[in-house]
Amino acid sequence: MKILGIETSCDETSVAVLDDKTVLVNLVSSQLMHQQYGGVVPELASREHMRILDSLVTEALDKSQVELTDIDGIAVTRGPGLMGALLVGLSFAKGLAFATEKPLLGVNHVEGHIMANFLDHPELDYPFLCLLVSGGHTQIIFVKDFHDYTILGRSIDDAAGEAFDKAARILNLGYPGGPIVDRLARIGKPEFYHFPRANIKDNPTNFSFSGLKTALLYLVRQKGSEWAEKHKNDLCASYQEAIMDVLVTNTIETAIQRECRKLVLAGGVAANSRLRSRISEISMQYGISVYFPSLEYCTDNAAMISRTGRELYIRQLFSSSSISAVPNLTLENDF
Amino acid sequence: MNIVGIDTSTNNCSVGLVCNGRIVDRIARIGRSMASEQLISLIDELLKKSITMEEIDAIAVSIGPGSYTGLRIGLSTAKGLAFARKLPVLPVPTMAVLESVARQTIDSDMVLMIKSHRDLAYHVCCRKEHPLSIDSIDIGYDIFSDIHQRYQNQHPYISPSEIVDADIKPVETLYPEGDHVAWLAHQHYQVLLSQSVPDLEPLYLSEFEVKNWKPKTESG
Repeated sequence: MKILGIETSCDETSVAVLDDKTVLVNLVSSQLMHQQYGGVVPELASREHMRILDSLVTEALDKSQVELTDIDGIAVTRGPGLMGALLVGLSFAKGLAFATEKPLLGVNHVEGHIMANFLDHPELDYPFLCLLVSGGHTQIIFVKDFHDYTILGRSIDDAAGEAFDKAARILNLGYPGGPIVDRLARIGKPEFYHFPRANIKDNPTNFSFSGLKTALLYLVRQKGSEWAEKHKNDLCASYQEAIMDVLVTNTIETAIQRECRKLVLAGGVAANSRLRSRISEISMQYGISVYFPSLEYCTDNAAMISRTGRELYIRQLFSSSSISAVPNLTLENDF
Repeated sequence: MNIVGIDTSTNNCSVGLVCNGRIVDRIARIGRSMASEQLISLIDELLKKSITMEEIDAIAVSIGPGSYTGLRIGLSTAKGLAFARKLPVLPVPTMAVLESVARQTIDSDMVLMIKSHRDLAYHVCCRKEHPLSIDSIDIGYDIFSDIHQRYQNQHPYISPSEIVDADIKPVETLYPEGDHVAWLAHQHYQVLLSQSVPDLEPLYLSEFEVKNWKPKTESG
């Protein structure tokens, strides 16, 4: 079974072709012009998707040497994401599905991030516990089966990825913040400064990261930007460690409490090297198996959309041509 | 030659079919989110009556100016439809489409206005004797009061948008329609064919500038 996947939810245009469980091609075109604005400008993102999507689909079919007529289904992200950006991919996919008389498979991007793990780990099976960490999400999810999710904990304010971006902005490091902070933190000292670790009383599996960003902001204001520049590596390491402590502790505690022997990381922040090493280390102590996607499949990509589309296809969960793009789609309001 | 025309530049989602230069049919629905949700089913309905997708030779689309979101839905859908059988996507200027619609009832010079946002609108004056050129239309972009200054109600105002202004009184609300898109595409096939490229974009017209824009991390 061959699935063509299209992803245009934010600032990456991506097209993939999946043959059963094998990725034949996964093309990702990142929009670099947002960097000068310190974040994604929605209108610019929509325009860029509009320009390159057609050519990217052509290139994906060429490179995978798959004819459009051999494609079984067309998978496309329908949310969450930026409305205008989502609509470009979704409208294209609808037109393509209609003209080729192939099933349309509307995919939840968040579910796609979880499914990315099956691309690298075909042996993975349900159930498992998932830590979903990205620019928009920080959630601990019990995954009983495909399409069967229970959210056990979540961030009550900023997402972990958002906390990284905000730190990078405060420290004038550029955008996107996650990879930059990760890189600088590797040569910094995590014990340089102790940032607050928020514990949420009513639900210990919940997270809060907004206080952390405020603490960094006040510290930089108090000490001055020259000082911050001089100690940026140590500040990044200390800040990152505060995020990691909370992510790792909450996740492992939940896994132990729920007696989950399998732990899966998903989302853009799953690419963070410190998170990968710390969660692997502690999981080993408790005899928990850890899975995370390769770096290529942590960030937004169409391979994970195709992989999710495959599961939808198998279950005959086809989408109607009237489905909407849903900017605030979640795992809970989807089904 | 059979051409499907799509116009989603306003809140009127309209599709039409032209076969060998003759308008065969039009299906249109007005409403919010109509284009994003109903465009494909309107095309399905349109084709079911008389023709199959295999018999279509080109997809024509209203290229702008108009609603950014609407234009992108129309053009993305057109590209998706065209991709399957490598059909050309023919970009028809929305003002020419509106002119074509208006000419059915208005027999004088007229001013076409398409609202952008707030009190800004795109406008063009159409002379009775000289239809708009298909590949170079000089479209103005001004606030209502300046538009009124310029034309002084000498000609009737035609607009698909709700224009709330003390001076400007649109004589008639007319919408650009898909059958006229297809018809114009047939009339100007060769010129428009040369504009059919994969990176085709809507005619946004007013250059987008990033002003007062505050970064906000988006979900994903």
